[in-house]
Amino acid sequence: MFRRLLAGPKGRARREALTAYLFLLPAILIIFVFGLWPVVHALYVSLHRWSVKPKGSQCFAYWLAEAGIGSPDALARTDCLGLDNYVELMGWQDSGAVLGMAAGLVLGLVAYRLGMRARRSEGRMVWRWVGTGISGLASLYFFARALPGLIRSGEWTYLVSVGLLLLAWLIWKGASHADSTLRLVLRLLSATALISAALFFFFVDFQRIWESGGPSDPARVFWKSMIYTVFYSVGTVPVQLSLSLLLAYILFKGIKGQGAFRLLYFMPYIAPSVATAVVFRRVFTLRDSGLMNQLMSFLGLPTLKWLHEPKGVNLVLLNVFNQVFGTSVAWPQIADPLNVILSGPSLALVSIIIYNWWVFVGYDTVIYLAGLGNIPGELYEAAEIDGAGRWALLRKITFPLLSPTTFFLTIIATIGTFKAFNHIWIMREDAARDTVETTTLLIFQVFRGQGQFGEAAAMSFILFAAILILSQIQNRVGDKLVFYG
Amino acid sequence: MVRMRTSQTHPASHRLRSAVSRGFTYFLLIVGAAIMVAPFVWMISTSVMTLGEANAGRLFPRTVRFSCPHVNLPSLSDNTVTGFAVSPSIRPGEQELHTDSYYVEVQDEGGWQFRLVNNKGTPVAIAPVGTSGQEVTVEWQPIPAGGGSVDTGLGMSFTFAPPGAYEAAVRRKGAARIDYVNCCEYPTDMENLATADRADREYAGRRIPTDLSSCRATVRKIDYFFSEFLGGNYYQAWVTAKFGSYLWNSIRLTFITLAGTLIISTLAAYAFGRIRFPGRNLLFGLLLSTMMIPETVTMIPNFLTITGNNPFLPFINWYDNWPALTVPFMASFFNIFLLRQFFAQVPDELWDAARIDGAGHMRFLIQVVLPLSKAPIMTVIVFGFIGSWNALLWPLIATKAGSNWWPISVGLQNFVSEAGPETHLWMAGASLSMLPVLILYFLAQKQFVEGIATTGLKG
Repeated sequence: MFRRLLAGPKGRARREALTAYLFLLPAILIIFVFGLWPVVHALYVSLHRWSVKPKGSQCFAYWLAEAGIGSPDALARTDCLGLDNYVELMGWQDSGAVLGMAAGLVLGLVAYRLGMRARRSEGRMVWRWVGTGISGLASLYFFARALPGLIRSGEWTYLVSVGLLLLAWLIWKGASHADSTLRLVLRLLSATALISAALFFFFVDFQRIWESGGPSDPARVFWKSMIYTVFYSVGTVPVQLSLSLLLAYILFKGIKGQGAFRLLYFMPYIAPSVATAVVFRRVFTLRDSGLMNQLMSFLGLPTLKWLHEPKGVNLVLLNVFNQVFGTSVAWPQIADPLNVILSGPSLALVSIIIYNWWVFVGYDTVIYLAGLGNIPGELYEAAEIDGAGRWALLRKITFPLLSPTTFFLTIIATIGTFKAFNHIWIMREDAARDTVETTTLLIFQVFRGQGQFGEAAAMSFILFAAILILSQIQNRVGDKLVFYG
Repeated sequence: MVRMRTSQTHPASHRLRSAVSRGFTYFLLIVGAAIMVAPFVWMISTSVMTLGEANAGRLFPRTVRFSCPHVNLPSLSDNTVTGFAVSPSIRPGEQELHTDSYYVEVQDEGGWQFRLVNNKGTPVAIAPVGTSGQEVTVEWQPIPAGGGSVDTGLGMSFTFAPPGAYEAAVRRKGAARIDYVNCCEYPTDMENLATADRADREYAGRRIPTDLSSCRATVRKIDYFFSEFLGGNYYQAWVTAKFGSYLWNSIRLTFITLAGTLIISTLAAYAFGRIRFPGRNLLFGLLLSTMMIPETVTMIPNFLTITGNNPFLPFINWYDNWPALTVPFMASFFNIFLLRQFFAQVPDELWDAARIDGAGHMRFLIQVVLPLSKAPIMTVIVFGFIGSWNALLWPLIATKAGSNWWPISVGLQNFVSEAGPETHLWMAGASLSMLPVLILYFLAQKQFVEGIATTGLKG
């Protein structure tokens, strides 16, 4: 019977398919078990109070029992928390209101989209208008229902900041159609102002989270780690990219010994990060014998505590300034959540950022070199004949044609900083307290150190969502700014 | 071409300007290269230092001790004295013996005297000369007029050269500080460990023998090479800090992972790239989506899976064993994607010809496609190697403390966090863990750079 199935021209297609499935089997098995299934499983774990095994009943049993299907024992003692882990981490007081607001926002966006399409399209217009009306009304309904709760809990700031961001996005989008420079500038300025206002309201929200719980409150710890992650990202990516662009530009001019330079610049990236981080832990030690402190003494500057320093870098710089010039400018007394942001990343985190530059400059340079190699030489020749200067060449040809490379590197580097673990884990000193604890490290600590699997899983999903949103934004912005030739 | 034209038409001042700008460019590049290389140089140089030198913040060791002072005493210089050996014992709980960071000071106060100081110059307690050795003191102790051995009790003995040898040094500084260099500071021979007569003292996991005088006799040739030729630190890292076994683990794990990766990804990539079958695009898209998922999301369920807590795979029990450290890495979709792009470009005529000759897919893959795709396969190998060698988060999760399967990354991080601040040994360990990767890099430099430039990713 098998033979019949596999014979003839139809059978040959079946044979081919069978071969393909057999070839794919090991890969699919492994990727399913260790790559795809974990997402489902982690989502399920994140709904529990869970450590290796939950002690009470799990969510499925609990929900079944609630629906009257399973045994009622499951109701008595359960570790099923529902969305509580997420609500706790987000610091929501009135989770119903916030979720209602989210539903309202999503429906509002749907309404906007449908409305835009309905305005543009010719046929089947009526249905689109009806859809717009229904989703718009539903959105209004959700907002109206959520509003009292939001005002009561002080969480209306979410609504304001999200609304401001949306408005800024609309204005920003319109900027590309602006017909005069003045209008363009005005639009960009107002978009920037709106974004700053949104950030302010986000901060108001952060302050509320900060004040509502103690120092070990999960929401506070989590959002603090998110802020450190953002510090780390912002400190790393732009500097790294500009340094490597400069390097690539120099190397590309066909100087002698280019290969040797490339070999050397690339070494930090190739060397195992655990080992180089160990070396840098000694370079940035607080002792006077550390390489960095020796350099500081050589330059006549005071030695610093580097990886042991939990104080913000702005504060440390102020101290150095005071010591060098003999002044005594004091750091203003600011209450804590604002101070965490204003004093900047801790010197310990800055040390790690410097390490990051050292590692990734070579890598970015190689990619930029490939990007420069793809720019056709005739463009430069033509422009030179037209009398373009060096700076004009750089600004009008090199930068625009490199923008896809820059865009690619920005995404890779930003997501990389959000996922970074190895070197931060190695360079972490107890004295720096939690100031180098980026979210990935926090998740690992909560998972392995405290054994709170559910909370760690919930954190990892929020981080995942942040990464997804970030790459979406970068995609959208990138589409506008990148010149793909 | 453009440059040629300018150099021909422009006068000398122009040429000078371009020479200056070129010189400046080189200057920038060399400074940058120095910054890139400095930490590596510092690592190597510190890894052959003594602890005292490392703590004193020297950039280079005073002397690279390629030979043991027992065998070949250091040459006489300004403030070094030869013919001198110390073998202090350690009283439990009394003082830490970083033998290398101790010095003996000598001075002439109507008769030669000595005392023991640490690397900060603070006197260290020793037993006074001529007593039974129960009390300790930091006072200066007399040296016999003609040099020779001084036994201060408590197993501490000092052997001095005739004082004439160090007069010159003392004249300059008031008190000469003499390096106490003793390659036998730690047991260099494992047989030596078994001898019973030894203080019950450990420092950073190393036992220190009471009597070091017999060191030289028991050092075997091969150990002698490691302990003396490599300055001792590498030997310490290799044997006592178990870097040898970590390295061996890493090599085994990397090999298994790479072998699995190659077989599994080649097969899958071939299926995606060269065979038409129903559901191909759907499957491809599904697997592609796994590339976005960060490790922090997957690590918790994967831990549950390998500990047998996956409801569908309760029979898997890989915790703290090699499959847990290799199997999850074997099928990264990135590799499949990379190879598929290449396999799909193999001309169809080749496949038709092979089929006429009676070859099946497997035979075509092995005999035609693989030999054609050496470059992407090298890329997969290179990045698989680096990724596997570098893995830290997952091995930390999937093994228990002190595991026999620890790869070198975990071994190194454990050594750094558990052991004392022994910079010189840290650096030796870091050098050992870097060595295989850097060797591979210098051998296959082209594959590394091109692989990264074309794929834009690190494994």
